[in-house]
Amino acid sequence: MELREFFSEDSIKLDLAGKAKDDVLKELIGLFNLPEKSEGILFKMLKRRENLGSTGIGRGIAIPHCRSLVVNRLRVAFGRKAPPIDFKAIDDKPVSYFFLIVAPPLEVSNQYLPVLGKIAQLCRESDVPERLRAIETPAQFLELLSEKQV
Amino acid sequence: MHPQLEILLELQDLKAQMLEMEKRDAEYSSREIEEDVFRISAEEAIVQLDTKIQEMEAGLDPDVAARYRLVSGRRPRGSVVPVVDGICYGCFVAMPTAMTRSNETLRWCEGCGSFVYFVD
Ligand SMILES: [Zn+2]
Repeated sequence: MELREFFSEDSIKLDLAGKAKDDVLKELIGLFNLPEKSEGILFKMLKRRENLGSTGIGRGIAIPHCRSLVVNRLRVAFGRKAPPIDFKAIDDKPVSYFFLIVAPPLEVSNQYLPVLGKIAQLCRESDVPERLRAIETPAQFLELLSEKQV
Repeated sequence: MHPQLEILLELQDLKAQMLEMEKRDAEYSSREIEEDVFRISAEEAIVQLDTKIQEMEAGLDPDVAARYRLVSGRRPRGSVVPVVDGICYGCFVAMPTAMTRSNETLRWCEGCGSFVYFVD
């Protein structure tokens, strides 16, 4: 299982418009094309997770995540925001790169935690923030994932 | 969406999150990831989630609360289960075809008793 398999070009947005944490979360959720009511529930759950502690892991990267019944399978998205926004990250630095991960509570294939772990592993690589900054198209993002072989 | 179903859904998601935070047996558990990668205290998170769950349970109508208590104790999969392609994911039995696939009414599965949520 490689991360590349879980992303598609339409779940990648390299020019997020939101200027604050909530706007960006909503924009990311929008990439899943869920019914409006489901989007609202998912937003609430993501906020609840953020209230436990920011998912901003430092170096300009955040990995908002939660389980929710509003999705019927694991969903992932990537968004980039320039200039970066305040996300209460653990290093207090603003965040530009967002990986969103959502899975249903009962997941037949149990991919949620492995995928979350792999994204965290990818984000620990020293060149990743710079590489994420440099990509110009969703296809290049996918190529980066393939190249990293996580 | 039925307002009580919305509370039930949120409760279910919060419980899933809390249960996962409590589990220590998985190879790479949610608890480990939350503590190692996100530096949050699982113990504190569990207390916060538990408080929120109790708060939301208090918002259930009495008759809904009664069924909720009955099914959440009995069913490890939870008190609300998704229905995907007409199949109840609580008991894997097909829902009656006459049942409209809408979340505007609060409904439960005759097979397992859990509240159902129709996933698009
Ligand atoms: Zn059932």
